[in-house]
Amino acid sequence: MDRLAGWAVPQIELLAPDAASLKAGRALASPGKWSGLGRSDRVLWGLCQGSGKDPYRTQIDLEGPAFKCSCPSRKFPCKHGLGLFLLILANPSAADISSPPDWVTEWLTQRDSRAQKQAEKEPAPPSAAVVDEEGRARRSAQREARVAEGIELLDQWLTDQIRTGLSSFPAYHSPGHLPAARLIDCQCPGLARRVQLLTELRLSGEGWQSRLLAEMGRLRLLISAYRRMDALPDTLKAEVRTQIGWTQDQERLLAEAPGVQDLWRVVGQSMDDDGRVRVQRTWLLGDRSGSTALLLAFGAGAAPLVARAVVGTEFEGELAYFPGAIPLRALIRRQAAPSASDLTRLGTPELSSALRGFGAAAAANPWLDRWPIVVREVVPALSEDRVWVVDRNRVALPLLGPVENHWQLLAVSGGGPLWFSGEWDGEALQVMAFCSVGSTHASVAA
Amino acid sequence: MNSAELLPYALLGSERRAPSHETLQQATAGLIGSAGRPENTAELLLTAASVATSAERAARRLSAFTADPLDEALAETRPVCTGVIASRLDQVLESERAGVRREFFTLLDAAGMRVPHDRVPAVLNVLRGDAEIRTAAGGSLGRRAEWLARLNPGWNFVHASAETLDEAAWETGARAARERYLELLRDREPPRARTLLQEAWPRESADVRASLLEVLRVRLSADDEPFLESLLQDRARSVREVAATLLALAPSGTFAARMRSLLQPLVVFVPKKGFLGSPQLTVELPVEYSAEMRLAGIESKPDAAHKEFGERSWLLIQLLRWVPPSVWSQEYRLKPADLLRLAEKTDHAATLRAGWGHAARLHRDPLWCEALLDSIPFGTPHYMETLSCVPRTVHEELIWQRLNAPLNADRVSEVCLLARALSPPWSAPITRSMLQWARSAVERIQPCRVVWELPHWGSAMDPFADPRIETGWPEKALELPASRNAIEKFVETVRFRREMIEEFRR
Repeated sequence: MDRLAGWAVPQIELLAPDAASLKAGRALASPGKWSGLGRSDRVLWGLCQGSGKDPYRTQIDLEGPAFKCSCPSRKFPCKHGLGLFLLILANPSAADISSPPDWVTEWLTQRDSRAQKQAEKEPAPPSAAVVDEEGRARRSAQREARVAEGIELLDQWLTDQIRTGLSSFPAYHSPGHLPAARLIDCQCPGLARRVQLLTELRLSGEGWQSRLLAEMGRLRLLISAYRRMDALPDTLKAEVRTQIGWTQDQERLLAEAPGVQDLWRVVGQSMDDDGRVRVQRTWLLGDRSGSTALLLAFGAGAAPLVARAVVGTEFEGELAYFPGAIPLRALIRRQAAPSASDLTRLGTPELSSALRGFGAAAAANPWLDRWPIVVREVVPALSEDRVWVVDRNRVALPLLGPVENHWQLLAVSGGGPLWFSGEWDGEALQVMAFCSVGSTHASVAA
Repeated sequence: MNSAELLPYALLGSERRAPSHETLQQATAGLIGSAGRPENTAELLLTAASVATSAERAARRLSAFTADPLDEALAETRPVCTGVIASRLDQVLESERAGVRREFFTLLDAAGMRVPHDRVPAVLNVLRGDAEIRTAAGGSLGRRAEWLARLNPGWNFVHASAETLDEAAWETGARAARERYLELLRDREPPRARTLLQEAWPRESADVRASLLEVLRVRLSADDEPFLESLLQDRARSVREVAATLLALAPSGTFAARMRSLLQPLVVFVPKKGFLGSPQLTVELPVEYSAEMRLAGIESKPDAAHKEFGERSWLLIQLLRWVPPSVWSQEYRLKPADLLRLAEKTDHAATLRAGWGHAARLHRDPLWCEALLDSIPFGTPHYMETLSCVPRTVHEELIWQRLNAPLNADRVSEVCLLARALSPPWSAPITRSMLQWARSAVERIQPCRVVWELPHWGSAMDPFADPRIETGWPEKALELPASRNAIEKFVETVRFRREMIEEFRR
């Protein structure tokens, strides 16, 4: 299985730590800059002459992918890694298939032995856990008490806003007006995030009033649900706890949660970046089960997010779902080597039927922020300074952002039908990927 | 109650006005319990809103879309570029070297291929700022670019013919927009552009009149001449000058013939007399500023650029300026160089050179420009303009001469200037000699200007002329980070171009 086939240029671009590195990487993606290029099933390597005396040794483990380069750059992956990847992807014949030199095999061996140690460490030492059972129970009770306190203060704050009226809700908050920091102190990061979102909604332009009220309503629902926790089914209980900010032990989840085995197709990816933390969302559709799954990856600062699933690929594997009102967020438990996937047959030609999928999910989980919409045979149209996708029944959904953000999509369509994937937030579609009919290679929105 | 009904209360504040508790409780439809806590009005109102907004969000139905669909783009006639060439395109779009970009698009166009659809917007953004690349790109943008340009006015350069003529731009637009309008109209309907300008004429300021008049330089015809003639009496000197220039360029040649006849008694060629005599040129300056001259738009006082000439010399310069220089060489059956030699023997050599120089540049006459070049001070704007009209071999010869001359700082500056003006692509022989010369110049002269020119040379030269471009650069130059950088950039550019050209040959 050629692992290289699972990769496309746009995905590699997503790995770049910043625009400058990507630009430098592109400039290095030409054979003249390299010597000793080679590749095997698993790894790519090459020597790149930089400003130092010796050429840099650059290598990429496609199982990952993982990058290593002898250059002094603090960027990761560095421009050499990106350049090497882009070069070989565009021009596989530039690198002969051969057995890796010692410096490459050495690295791979190190990686494998580290991975093995990691695997051996994985089962948590049970005895230690038993010993600390008491401490854990105490900490957990402490947290419950804090959260209860957070819920009370949020309820009080929300009630005050409604009592005095949203028309005076300030567009710019002095620190302390929003209870976000106090909610963090009360160990309710999920609530704090939603409270912070209120400011964004206040500034979201025409119609902000109803968006603000809707989000406050969702907070109110969380409060009511928390207070009636005992009456809720287990799945909803788990959802409420996640929304408030309890996290799951991922190791335990991987070990214990029931898995869903399927052929998973990666239909889209999107990124939120608030300047401190980047959150990458990857959407999967199960071929046999028809399930939807969401993979999350978090990165701080300039550290890259290495997606384990690349848009336009598919893999046979098992996912473990987090418990929730509906099964959605998941982890990959087992993953066979990915291969390129023809996404263009996926999805429905009717927007209303795609939207019904969202409706069912949002009815079960009122805190659902985003849902993937995958449609085919839609055409773009312009109206009210926005781009819309229109289906054969002449109904349409608007794309997020001004027309200027969508030239690439318009160019690919030429007014003709598209396959399209996007994230629906209840108001607009964030474009994730698209391609024209007859083409199998999806363009990934930047 | 739905969310639209609840919103006004939430905005106003429940302490001012709110529906009754019973109504609000009904609105929650018993979906949300209060866990035994008594709820105040604000809590009830928000709970009712949460039920309504959640239900509406999940149950959203789509209404019919009424905007018109976009027309479908025409089918492409060229095959799309793929593989290495598509990835080269991505690199070219990132590159800051305009020369390399231009070359890529020339190659793409010559190969009969087109840009992939998803790259078209990025390519259009690059082309927006560079008219030369636009010309080079030719049909390689494909039909999709035309289609996109109809949606984004910023890209309508794609096909100037499709740029819509917006009459409002002419009536009320800024100066540049009005000029653009007139240019487009001139290109499509030359007489209408002239008539439009004629109509607007009395209302325009002198400055605007001169620049709008320049627009008529395109597609000049005999029909334009009466209007231009009338402008020879315009109030503004700048307008008179443009009018005379256009008349001199007009295909009918009437104005030039009129100037020639005014010169008839003044410049006379006397062929060789007898066996021993030699041919002669006799030159007399006009005696006075005649009414005929005034009617022909000739100025009486020298302009700022001709202060060193007397008033009568100035009259002669102007008369000579509007006559195509080939008229003289044909009439006297003499080469321009021979005529110039005869001119040197007269008392008015500088006057003749100035007049003929203007005429040679105006008509871009290669033979005359070649003959005149040596008499113009090196590097001046007149020199560079004259140089731009000479045949390529002559331009290269000027470089050869300096490569073979003893090396000094002046030679270096001259070669750099001449190389800047030599249009790409350079031939292999001159490339090889220039690089060899550059290496020794860098070795022997410190600091050497050539180093800073190398990145430009890299994008203009024949990239295959010197197979070992990276070698032979003196250590001294490589020690300085800035000059090392310039040499590396040069080597990189040449390698990039080699790879690019080879990819297209495959």
